[in-house]
Amino acid sequence: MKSVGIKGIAMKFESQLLKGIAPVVVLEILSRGPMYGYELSQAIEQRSGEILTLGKGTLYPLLYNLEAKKLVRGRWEEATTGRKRRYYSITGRGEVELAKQKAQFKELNAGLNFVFGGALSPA
Amino acid sequence: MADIRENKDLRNLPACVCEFIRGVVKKMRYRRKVRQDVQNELTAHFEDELKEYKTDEERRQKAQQLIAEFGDVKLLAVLLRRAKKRCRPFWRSVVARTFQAVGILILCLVLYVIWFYSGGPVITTNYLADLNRAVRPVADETLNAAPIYDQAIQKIKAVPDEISELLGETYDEATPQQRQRMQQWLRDNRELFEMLAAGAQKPYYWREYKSNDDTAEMMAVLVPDLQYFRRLVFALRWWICTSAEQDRYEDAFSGIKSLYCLGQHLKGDSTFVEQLVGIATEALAAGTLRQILWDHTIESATLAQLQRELQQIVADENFTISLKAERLVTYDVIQRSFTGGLGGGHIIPKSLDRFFPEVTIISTGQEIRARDRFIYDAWAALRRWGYILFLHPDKQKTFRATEQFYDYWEKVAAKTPAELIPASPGTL
Repeated sequence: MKSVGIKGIAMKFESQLLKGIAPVVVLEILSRGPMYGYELSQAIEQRSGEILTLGKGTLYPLLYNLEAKKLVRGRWEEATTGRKRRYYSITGRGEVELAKQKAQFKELNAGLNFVFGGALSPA
Repeated sequence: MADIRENKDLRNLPACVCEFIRGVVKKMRYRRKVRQDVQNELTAHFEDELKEYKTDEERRQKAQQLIAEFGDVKLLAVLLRRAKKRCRPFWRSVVARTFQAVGILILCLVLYVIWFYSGGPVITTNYLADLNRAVRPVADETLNAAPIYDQAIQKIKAVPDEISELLGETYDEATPQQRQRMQQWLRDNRELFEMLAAGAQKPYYWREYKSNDDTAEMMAVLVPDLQYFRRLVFALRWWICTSAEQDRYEDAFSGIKSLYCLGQHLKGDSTFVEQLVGIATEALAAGTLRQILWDHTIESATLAQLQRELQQIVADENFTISLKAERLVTYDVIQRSFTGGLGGGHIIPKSLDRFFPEVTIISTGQEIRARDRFIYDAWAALRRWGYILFLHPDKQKTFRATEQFYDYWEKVAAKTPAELIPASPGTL
C-alpha cells in the first residue's frame, strides 16, 4: 500500500507491515457484494473507520492481479446511475483464500495480544 | 500501436485528466482491447470522483489531487501492464513466448549469417611455390627442354590460318592440293622440327608455373601454351607422314622419337591436363608409327635400330599418373575457401560460387512448369544453404578428406590393370 493513514492523525505504517493486508481487505469487502473500483475504494475507507485507505495507484493494479489469480472476476455492467462500470466479485477460490488469510490474521492477532499483554484486544 | 477509441465521457473531464489517462494508456503498450478497457475504467473512476464538484475550477483542483494520488504515469502504466499480462490465458502466453523465441532465433540466425559472410581466408601456404619446387628436378637449366620448346611455340604461333586449319587434318584425309601446300610449308619450316628434335634430346622438362595475378592462386595458374603444343604435335605428325611418303624413313623415325619424347616431357609431376596431353602425344606417336609400318615396307635393320632406340626411351619411363599438382591445387582451393578461425574455420560462401558452381539440372525434354521449377529451386537452395551454414565440415576435416582422397587415387593410379582386378569385391 502506498498511502495509509488515520484522518487527522499523522501516522505512517511500515510498508512491510502492510504488504499482505491490501489483498485481504479487498477480498473481504468484495465478499459482501460486487463493486466497481471507485465504490471499492470508498468502501474500504468507510468500513475501516477511515483508518485504512487504498492508494489510487495501487487500486487497479491490485484488482487486475487478483483477477489474474482468479480470486476475483471482473465484468462490465450497467451501474445504478445508468453508466457502465466494471464490477468485481469474489470467486470461489477467492473465498477460500480469504478464509485462509483471515485465519492467519486471527492467529497473528492472538499471538501479538499475548506479547503486548492484551493491549490489542478490543476494549 | 493501433489507436483506441476515445471514451466520449473523457471529453467531459478536465483536460489534465484526459492527458493523464491518455498517457497511462499509451505507455501501457499492450493489446488494443485491454488498453481500451483500462481507459474506460479510469475514465469511469475519475467521473465518479468528480461528480460532486460542480464548478470547473473545483473539478480541476480535485482532478489534480487525484492525479497526484495515482502517482507516476509510467510506473502506473507498467504496473497495469504487468497485471493485465498475468490475466491473459495460458495459450496466449505460449503463443507470445513462441513468437518471441522465433524472433530471437531469427535474430541469432541473422547475426550468424552476417558473421558467416564476413569471414575471410587466411593464406598460410604458397602452394604455387611448392608446385614449382616439386616439378623442378635437381638439374642444370641447360638440361631443360622447355626453352627449346618455347622457341618452337613462338614459331608455331606465327603460322597462317590456312596452315593452322590443315594441321588438324591427317595425311590420309587431306586432298592432294592440301598435301602439296603442307609439304611446301614443312620444307620452309624445317628448323621447327630440328628444334623439336633438339628438345627431345634433353633429359628433363620443367617450367615455372605462374599465376595470372599476384595472389599465387593455384586456380589462376596459367598453362597458356598447351594449345600450341597441340599444333606442334600435329605439325610433327605431318612431318613424319610426309617424310615416310617420300621414303625418308630416317626423318620419319626421328620425328616419331621427337614426338614421343615431347609427350614424355609433358608428363611427370605436371598438371593433370598437361599429363593427359603428354599421354595423348605418346599415343599419337605410337599410332602414327603403327600406320607407317602398316603402309610401308621397311628394312628390318632399320626397324631393329628403331626398336632399340624406342626401348631406350621408355626404359626409365614412369607410366603412373601424378596427382601431386592436383593435390596442391585442391589444398590451395581449401585454404582460400575457408576462414582461419577457431575450430578450423568455416566455409566462405563466395568461394562456393567461384570454385564449386551449382550444377544445373539438364532438362529431360519435358517442359518444366515455372512454378515447379521455382519450388524445386527454392527447396534445393534451402537444403544447400542449410548444409553450408550449419552442417559442412570444417577446414581441418576437409583437408583430411582431401588427403585421403588423393592418397587413395594415387594408390589406384600406381596399380597396373591386372592389379586393379580385385581378388575379392570391394577390396583394392
